[in-house]
Amino acid sequence: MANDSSDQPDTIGQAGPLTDVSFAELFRSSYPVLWGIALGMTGNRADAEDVVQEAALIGFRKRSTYEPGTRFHAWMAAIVRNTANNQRRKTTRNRHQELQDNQLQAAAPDRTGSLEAASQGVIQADLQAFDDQLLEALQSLTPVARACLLLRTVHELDYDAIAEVMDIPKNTALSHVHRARKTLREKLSGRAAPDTKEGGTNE
Amino acid sequence: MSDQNPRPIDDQRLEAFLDGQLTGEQSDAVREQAAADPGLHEQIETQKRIDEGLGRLAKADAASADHVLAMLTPDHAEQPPAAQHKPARPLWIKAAAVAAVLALVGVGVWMQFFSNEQDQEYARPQTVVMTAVYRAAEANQFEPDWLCESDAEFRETFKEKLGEALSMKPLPGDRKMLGLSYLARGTGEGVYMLAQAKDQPVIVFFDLADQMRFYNMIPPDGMKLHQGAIGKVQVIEMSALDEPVFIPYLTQEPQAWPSE
Repeated sequence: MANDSSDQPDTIGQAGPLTDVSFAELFRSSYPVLWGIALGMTGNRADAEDVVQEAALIGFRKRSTYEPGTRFHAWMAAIVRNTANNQRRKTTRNRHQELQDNQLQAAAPDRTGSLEAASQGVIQADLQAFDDQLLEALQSLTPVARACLLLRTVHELDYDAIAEVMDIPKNTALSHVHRARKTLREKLSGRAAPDTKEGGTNE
Repeated sequence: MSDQNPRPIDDQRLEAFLDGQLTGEQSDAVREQAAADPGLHEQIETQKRIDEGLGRLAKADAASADHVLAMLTPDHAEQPPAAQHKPARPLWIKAAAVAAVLALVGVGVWMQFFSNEQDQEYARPQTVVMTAVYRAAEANQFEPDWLCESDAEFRETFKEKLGEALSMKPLPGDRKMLGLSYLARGTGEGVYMLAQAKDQPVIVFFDLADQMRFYNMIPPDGMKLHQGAIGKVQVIEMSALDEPVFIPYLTQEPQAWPSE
């Protein structure tokens, strides 16, 4: 199920300095993971798109500083995390005065932008309702926990790979994922969420 | 190894099950227990729905990577050309020329001239995104701006746009030029040729060396770039092929096309 990061030759660094074309090739192969990190860290698609775009620009401009032979996706992941953190700081400042409800609404993507199925016009109403609840529940996780969960569940990375791109210990990654899953299950089963601040939630 | 005396599954074991970390036998034991325990069954089903929901919400769109790459600005196209390139002629010559114009045609015409100069100097350079050119050509079914049907027309186009006449030698049967199109970049226009080779689409970009800074040279996924030069014209051929198939046929010498 999960990819072993050591088995991903397309993300191994180039022998020489990055050219435009090799940057593009490596970026494409790393994109799903970078997207997962950005979406997890920001909590909504619009901000995640901005973060990936800005990070790509920074990476592209700094490509001469990329150390050949090192893992490109880990190098870009660090840029995405930093960019997302900066974005969150800016967002937090901008929304400081807003009420909690408004914050949640602002953080959640609009339906047409956030749901792939919705854009195809085939999603069912109960599925929409469930996804809405899921979006809301996701906002209760910390950015790092959310990113770990998406990398594991959607992008099927193993815990070594998650630890590498998130720059955290493997056990921490595992703990984030398990606690995040439990939190979401409890919220979406209609049961009260546990007070597990240390477990990767924002509550 | 299944438990002989089923007991409530603790969180750790449930998470390990949901994470696919148990052996087949251990997983079967959890499933058996879930069949007899509605609460456990509900948790597993809820997790399944959550995982599916996360997939819908967070799946990466492959085309988005190309979109991001297409937005990358070439390193040197950030500043207007005037800021990067000093005028080749000393300023006093320019001033003298302006004075001569003033004397000859009057203030009104000078104002018009001056206005044009300002526009050129401060116009934001236009970047050519090769991927976007390719996508646009694809959407337009590789129909060029105009069909170039003779060597004379072909040469005239390059002479007019890039100041250097180019010709194409007779092509082998598996290659076909579809026509030429223009693209805005910097403060003028470059030329690109739409073509086919070995049933593959090919785009050949032509421009002057000093204009190449306006190009985002990141090809679409699966495409490769091959570079060459004919006189002062830089040529970049983009296709899925491993070698250039049109660049070797470009020449400065006039040719007689079979159709002529």
